[in-house]
Amino acid sequence: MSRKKKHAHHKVVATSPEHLEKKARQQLQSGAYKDAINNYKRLLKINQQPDYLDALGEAYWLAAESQAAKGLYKEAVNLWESRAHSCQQHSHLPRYITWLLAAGAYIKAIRIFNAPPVELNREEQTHLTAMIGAHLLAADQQNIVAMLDADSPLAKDYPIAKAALKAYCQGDENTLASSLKAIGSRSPYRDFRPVLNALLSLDAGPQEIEQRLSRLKPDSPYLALGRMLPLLQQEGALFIESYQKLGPAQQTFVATLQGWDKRQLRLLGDFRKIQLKGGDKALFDFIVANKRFFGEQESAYFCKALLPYLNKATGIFERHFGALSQAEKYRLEALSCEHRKDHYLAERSWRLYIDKLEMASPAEETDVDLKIALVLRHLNKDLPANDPGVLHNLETSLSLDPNDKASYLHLISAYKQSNYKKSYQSWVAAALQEYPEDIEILLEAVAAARTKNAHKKAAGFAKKILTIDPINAKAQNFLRSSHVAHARKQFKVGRLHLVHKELAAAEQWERNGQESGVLSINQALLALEENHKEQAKALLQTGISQSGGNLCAYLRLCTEALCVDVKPSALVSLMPEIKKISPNKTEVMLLVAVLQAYYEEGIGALLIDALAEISPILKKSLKQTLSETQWYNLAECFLTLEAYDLLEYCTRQALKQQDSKPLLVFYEISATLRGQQQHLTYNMHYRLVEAAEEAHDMNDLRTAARIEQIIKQHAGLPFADTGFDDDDNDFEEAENNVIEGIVNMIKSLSPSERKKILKDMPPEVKSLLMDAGVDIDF
Amino acid sequence: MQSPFDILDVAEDADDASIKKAYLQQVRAYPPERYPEQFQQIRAAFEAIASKRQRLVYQLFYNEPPHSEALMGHVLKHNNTQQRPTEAQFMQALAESLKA
Repeated sequence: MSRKKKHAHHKVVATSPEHLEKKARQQLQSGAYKDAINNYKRLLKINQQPDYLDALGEAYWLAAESQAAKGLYKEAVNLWESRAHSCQQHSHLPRYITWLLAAGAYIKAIRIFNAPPVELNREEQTHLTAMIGAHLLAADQQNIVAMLDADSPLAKDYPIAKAALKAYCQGDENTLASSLKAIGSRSPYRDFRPVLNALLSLDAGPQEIEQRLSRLKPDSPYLALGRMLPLLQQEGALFIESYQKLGPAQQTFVATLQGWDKRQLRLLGDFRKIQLKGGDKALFDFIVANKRFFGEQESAYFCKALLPYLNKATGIFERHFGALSQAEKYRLEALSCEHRKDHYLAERSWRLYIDKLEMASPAEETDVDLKIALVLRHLNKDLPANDPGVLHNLETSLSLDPNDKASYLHLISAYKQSNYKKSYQSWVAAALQEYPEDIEILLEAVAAARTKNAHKKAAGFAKKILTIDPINAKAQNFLRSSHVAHARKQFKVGRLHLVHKELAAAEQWERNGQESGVLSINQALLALEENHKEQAKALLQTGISQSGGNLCAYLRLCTEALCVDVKPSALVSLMPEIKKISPNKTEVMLLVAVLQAYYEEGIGALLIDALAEISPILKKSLKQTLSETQWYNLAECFLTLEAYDLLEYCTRQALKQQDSKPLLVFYEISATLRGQQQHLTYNMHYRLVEAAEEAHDMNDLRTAARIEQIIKQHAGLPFADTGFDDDDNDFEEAENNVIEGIVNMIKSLSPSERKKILKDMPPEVKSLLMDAGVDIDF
Repeated sequence: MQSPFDILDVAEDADDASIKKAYLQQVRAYPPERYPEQFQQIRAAFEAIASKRQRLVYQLFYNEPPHSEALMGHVLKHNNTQQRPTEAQFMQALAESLKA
């Protein structure tokens, strides 16, 4: 198509009424009101349809509203008038009159108000009268007042309102009181009264002001003025933020009420310029330049807080506010590094800060021990929870400040997870000494006592918890299982009367409706031992119904039997139907919770045998589709219990349903290794390295750390030297980086600092440096 | 953000008792049922510096640039004698708020 033809075609489309109408409608909807007005006008020239006229009226109205919202009242007035003229539409007349007043066209506004083209209802009249009254007060134009009917309330009450305003400004309280009294409740100026009253009660506090202003209706012309008053009660930043949102005349009004002098106003002006300019250095310089005004102490505090964000401003600071201690300089440097996310240098600065604190005299620094402890805890925030450095920091911090529960709980949890039994027990004891009445610590003490098989001690702690919190469910469970454990011991040595006693004691702590079935199963075992087969059967039935599904019941049956050296088949033969179950997903996942509870009771070894009993049914149920999280929960549970057969089966099934993920690779290889890291093959090592990399990419640092732990544990075996190129070994590279970092850090120190750090350096770090060929004498 | 010391209007070296006193004073002025936002802010400020340990944590590690409005607000709010505006100032402020 030629360009000319194309243009002609375009013109036809553009002028067709259908197209024009569609376009105008779209413009109206999208807020392009001017274009919509033009197009509807064009449509009306083509066809005088009433629809087009209505749409044009709507476009004018929306355009007027949008102009008024921007404060362009004259434009809004013009658009409203064009609508009235072109479309004969006079709706929203009160808004038009309000816009006229805002645009300063008082005479026209009053003329239209006195002879409106459409009738105004009473409510509209009242509102407009008040609005005109407020504008008259604000404008002070006697000639306009003279235009009003002399008998109208607007004209009659005007001098009274004006006198009240004048009396307030001049502080003439008597005239003010009498004028306020003279403004009647039906006066167009009645809303001026609460504003003046609120101004008079500025010293009485925000509640008083709010109460007085609460008399203003949402459409009151004095509402915006009234809303400024509570801001005078605000403090500090809130006040400045609110103040800066005001218009210039309102700001002057507030500034006068606050009693600001010229210097304060100049300061505020300069501050606004600094804010517009932006930047911490500009603010720093502004405060330094005006420190006399802000106060020496306040300015120093503020400028010091800015130092971590500024380069080389410490010198300027010291020139103006005096020298900073070396410790303080290190602290500010550490904060600056943290701000730049340079964690390595931040830690270095914090360590240097600690050194300086340790050397400081009591006159130079107070609360030294507490500060060091807090810094050591602060250093841990970017490190993994089980990092040896974290644990060392916490241990040192507690030696300086033993009053930190979170640190004890962290150490207890870390040593428990890492299976460092001695450290675990000793930190529980230390925590207990510091917090003997704390429920969280007492619960840890119960758990720690149970891992040592000190059931009486555990029961003692649980009882103590119940004296503090009589309905503590965990303590009740502990006590119940503690009696059950004791009953098992008595059962094995044949003291059946004591078994009765212990089970009865355990029953005391069984919560109604939350029975686990353990008691009933043990009572069944006791009944069977005493040859009461029918009673045993009935008790077993109860136990199964309380166990949370058949799979859990089967496991409990086997476990409880094994705990008292009874063959599980002896119990199962009483309930042969339990072997014919096909558990659903929920029952499988409930089993995880039951296994964990048993494991925490310290009967992990027996669980392997119990799991072997239920293994055929369990494996069958693992063919169901489970979610990724469910597979992980199961695998983690089997790994904890060292149930490697089931772990292997579980990961195989998971891999049939899921993509291979680093965590699954970890479980799969852990299952194959069965805790024997020396069996790690070249192929497994390769897969683990890849999985660790993938875990790092996925930001799954926990999995990466677990995988790296397996790799580290078996490091030094023959294949490690053959399988990988040294350049590709990330771990060795990371180690080298650490060594290099330490060397650089030591080299950057002054001779005395270097001497001190080398003196305090742990022997293992020294040997690491020497192994790496570093001369530690530098 | 304002510092908790600014919010409670207490000095950096204030002790537990004066911080608690300032907190209760602020709560009385901004009760939670009428000023839920301000109350939350006041409560959070109190919890951040109520004890010596918390104050030390704040003073050692708080790592955000200071709130300059707080300093300005502090200076502008203190040591002033309230005055009444002139008639002209009042009328101009009213005219401006009528256009808002």
